[in-house]
Amino acid sequence: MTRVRIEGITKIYGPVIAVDNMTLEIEDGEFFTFLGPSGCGKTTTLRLIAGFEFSDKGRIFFDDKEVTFLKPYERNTAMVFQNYALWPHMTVFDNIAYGLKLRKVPREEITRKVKQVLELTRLEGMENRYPTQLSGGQQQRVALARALVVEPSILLLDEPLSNLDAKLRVGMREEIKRIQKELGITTIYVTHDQEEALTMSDRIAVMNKGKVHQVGTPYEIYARPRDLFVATFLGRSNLLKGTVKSVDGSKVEVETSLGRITGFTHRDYIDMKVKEGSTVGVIIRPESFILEQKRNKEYNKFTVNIILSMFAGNRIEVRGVYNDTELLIYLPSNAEIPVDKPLDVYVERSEILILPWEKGLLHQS
Amino acid sequence: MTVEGIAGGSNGVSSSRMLLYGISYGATILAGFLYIYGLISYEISLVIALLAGLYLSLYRYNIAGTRPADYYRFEVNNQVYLVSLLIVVIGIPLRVYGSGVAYFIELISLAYATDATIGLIDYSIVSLRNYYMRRRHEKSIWKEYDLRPVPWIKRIDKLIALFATYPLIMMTVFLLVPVAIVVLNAFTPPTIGPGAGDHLYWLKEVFTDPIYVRAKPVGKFIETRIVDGIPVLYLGGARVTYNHGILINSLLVAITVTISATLLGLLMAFIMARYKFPGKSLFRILVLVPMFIIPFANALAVKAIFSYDGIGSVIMHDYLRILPWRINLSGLAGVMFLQVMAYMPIAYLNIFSSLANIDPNLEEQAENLGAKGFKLFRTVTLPLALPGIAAGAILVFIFSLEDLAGPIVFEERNLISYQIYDKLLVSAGKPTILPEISTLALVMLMFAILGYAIIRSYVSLKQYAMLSKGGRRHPRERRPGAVGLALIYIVLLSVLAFASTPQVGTILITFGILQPDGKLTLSQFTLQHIERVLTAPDVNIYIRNSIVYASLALALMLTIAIPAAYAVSRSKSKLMNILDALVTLPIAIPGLVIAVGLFFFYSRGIFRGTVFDPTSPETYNPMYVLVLAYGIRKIPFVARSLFAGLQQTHVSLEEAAMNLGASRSKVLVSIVIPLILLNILSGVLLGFIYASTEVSVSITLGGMSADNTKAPLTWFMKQTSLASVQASFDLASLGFVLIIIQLIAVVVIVLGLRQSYAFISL
Repeated sequence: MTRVRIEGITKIYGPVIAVDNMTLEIEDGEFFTFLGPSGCGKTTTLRLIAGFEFSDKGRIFFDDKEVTFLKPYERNTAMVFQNYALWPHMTVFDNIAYGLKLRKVPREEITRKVKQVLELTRLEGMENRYPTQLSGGQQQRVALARALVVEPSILLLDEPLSNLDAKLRVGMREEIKRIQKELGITTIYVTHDQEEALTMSDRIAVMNKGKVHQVGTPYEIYARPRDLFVATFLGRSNLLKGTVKSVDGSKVEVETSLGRITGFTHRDYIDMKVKEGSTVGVIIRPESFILEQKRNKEYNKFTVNIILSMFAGNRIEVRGVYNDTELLIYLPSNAEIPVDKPLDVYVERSEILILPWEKGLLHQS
Repeated sequence: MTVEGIAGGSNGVSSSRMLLYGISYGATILAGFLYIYGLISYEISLVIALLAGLYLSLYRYNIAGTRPADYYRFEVNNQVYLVSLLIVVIGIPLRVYGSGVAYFIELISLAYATDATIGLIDYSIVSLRNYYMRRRHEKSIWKEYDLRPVPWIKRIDKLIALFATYPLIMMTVFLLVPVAIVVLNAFTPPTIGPGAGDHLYWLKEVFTDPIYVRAKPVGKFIETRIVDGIPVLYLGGARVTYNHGILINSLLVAITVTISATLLGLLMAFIMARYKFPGKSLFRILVLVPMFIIPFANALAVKAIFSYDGIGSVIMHDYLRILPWRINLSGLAGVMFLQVMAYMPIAYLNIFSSLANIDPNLEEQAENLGAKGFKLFRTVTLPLALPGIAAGAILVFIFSLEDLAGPIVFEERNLISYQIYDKLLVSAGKPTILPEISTLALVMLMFAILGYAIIRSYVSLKQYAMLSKGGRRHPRERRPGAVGLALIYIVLLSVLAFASTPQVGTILITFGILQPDGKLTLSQFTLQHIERVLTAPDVNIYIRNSIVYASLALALMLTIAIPAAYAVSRSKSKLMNILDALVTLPIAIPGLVIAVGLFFFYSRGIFRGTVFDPTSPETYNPMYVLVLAYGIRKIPFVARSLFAGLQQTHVSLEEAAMNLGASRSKVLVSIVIPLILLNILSGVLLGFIYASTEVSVSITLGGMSADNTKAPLTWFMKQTSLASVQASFDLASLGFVLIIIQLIAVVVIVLGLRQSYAFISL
């Protein structure tokens, strides 16, 4: 049971800043995820925690013990690698027992513990097989078992599901989550897959270019993104550039290419980065659009010309244009959408997020 | 600075660019003519060439927008630059011809070299500036983040550090230092006589003395004469052996052999890699035959078979009537033929493996776009196979330069290798050693490194990265038609018959079927020769010696190669490039240069008068020197094999173990070594074969003890090649023993360990 504290960690490769002055704390027993696009520094962070790399600045603590320069074999972490890294010359049993043998655990104890972890990972009867005789999902579970059996203080998972096919991935997601809850072990997970991050984590750190943009629960991250990167990286969204016309409490009115839009911003941005005349981004999630207004609520109204309508099972994905600006709109699958005709759609004001504009933002919609 | 300059130069202004080249080189050629007709002095013509080069370099920028740095980076082939510089610096071998052509070459080279030198200087300035700017940027980051480098003692991996240091020390002490002694010794001035005090005296001697560089060759290389009513084609000289001076002879042989062996290897490799035909698996086994290394015995066999009434000549002229004359090989031609046979397999192996690794999709894509037949070969296949071709060619060139068995058996003294060997034996036991040996060794080293640089830089300029490697799994094989099939069989059989001559001849002589003078005597089949070499104590002592020496050398190789390969493959430090280069360096250094270096190295300082000292025959025991020499010389072959295994082993397998609590050394023992065990075993077998058949050091330093019974097998084989008819049977039988040993090794490697035997690659 271990708390991880990262204090101002910086890692530099030549001119590239892989991890940029990161400070955060991971609670005891927490499932914590580093989420970000490839090359954002999330794997480097994990390798710094495991001890495969040393940081150029800052310190890492496990509970109150500093581990910044400890060798990997002195840290009692256990990592599951992206390619599983099972030793092809050892059986499943020997792979799993390796860490225990190093710890000089008595033979009967080893057999017992391995049996236990095989049960936990649902691998009973596979002891004497070699890794090449196993399927991808089974190999994945052996890797997990090998890491868990040594009872590490921290479990590290480096994109463990990225080599599996889509169906297995969902199954393993639940499996890992179940095991983690059962053991209550502090777990650090690295992924570029937002669905994985949102479904599994207690808290998520969204990273880009070495920086942590936001740390929060999956709901906070998705519904209350702190900045435009987080807002556009998670889920699909419409991003509009605009100029602030008026600010009233946390309610902001913005002039955009779609006309005036009213939405809300975070309290601490008010009068700082979001004030009259400042350039901002307006975030509208496609699922926020509805076809009819309800009473007692304030709405923004958009009249768009529908140019494309795609049926996607649980919803219809619609592209609507107004004033040369395209919007992505999700509508209920039973709605009738007239193509090439104007349509009125509404978004509740509280669902529209106003965030300070950032230069050089990777535009996704 | 940018590529646009080049692009602009190649389309828009190419005519004015041609004009520029016309003016510059025109002026240079004109200067040559003016000098020849006595209108200007030699120095003035040099100045004109220099100015022309300067003009070319500076005005190209104005006209074509090409900065000298771009020109150097994109257009100067480094090797051409090197050669032109060498011609300017040395100049002499060409001037010896005394013809006008030499002057023109020298002047044009000077103009070109001037142009390229300005490019090089500009390029250095640009890259230094870029480096400086990058450093400044990095430093500004460090300052911005207030970073201080972590003390190295904290971040260093002690085992890796140890693993890198030990091979570095061994390779430096036992390879670099001896070679450095050779280089330094070559510049020792004579104390008395005409050249006293002149550091370059020996170098000048070697490049000007007609013994070394002859303006007009002696004898005819090809000559037909009628002997007893039969026309005979004398290759290498009929009465007088052909001689162009030692330096030119060596280059002539090396270049001819490299080109012929590479072309034959390419032909064979292409057929084997790209065609499907009945009996292919049989040919796969047959191509292994010429690969067996049988020093001296091979030369004996070739000499016997291709003599005036040798079986090869008789069959081809009298029976098959393919040739209008009988063939008689001697001198340089004998050496060339032998070396082509011996080294063709090296070219073949390298080219075959690069052809087999070409992703078939790349060729299919080209076909899809309309490339066919020779065009496909020339535009796609050949460029992709080029690294393999070049690697093979480099090895053939260097092996040819340092070969001793051919020159010794064909009694061709006028080659650098023979001269070094001969002079070294004469020096044995004498207090002073002629610097001439070192000078010759230096020249050989220069030729080898130049050959290495030429072929290597040409390849590294065009490194083709292939995205996937589908070649091995789904080979692109075609089925030839009837005519094609016949052609394939004719080509394969004749090339293989040619290349296997030494091995087949050796076996025939061993069993008494072929006499050492080339006559076929089927009735005299006997097992007595092979029985003799295995049982007679005066022969099998040498087999035992070599087995002991090679085994000890192997142990040494492993202690160096395992740490070196591990450190190079697992550390990101730039220092590892140096280690990598050091461990592969012995390939590029001719064995004779090492032999000369070790001769000096062990006859001085702390080694003086000890068991290591070859100049003190009474105390000298060749075992120690040979084990060290074999160990260092043949290390690249073992290290390559290990390195290949480590590269196929993903680092995360080791990280996973460390993560679970294993220290580096524990990881090495429990994970790394078991995973690369097959590579280690195949490396061990190869190392053993190479060490036990080593020639250069063995026949020089190996035979310098007062007690001849401590010499290695190859030394004894050399001795027998110079002796009686009975000794010839001994030699062939020893060759046969070597063939059997290698056959077993090949079978174990290919079938037992399932490793590729295509090992000799760079």
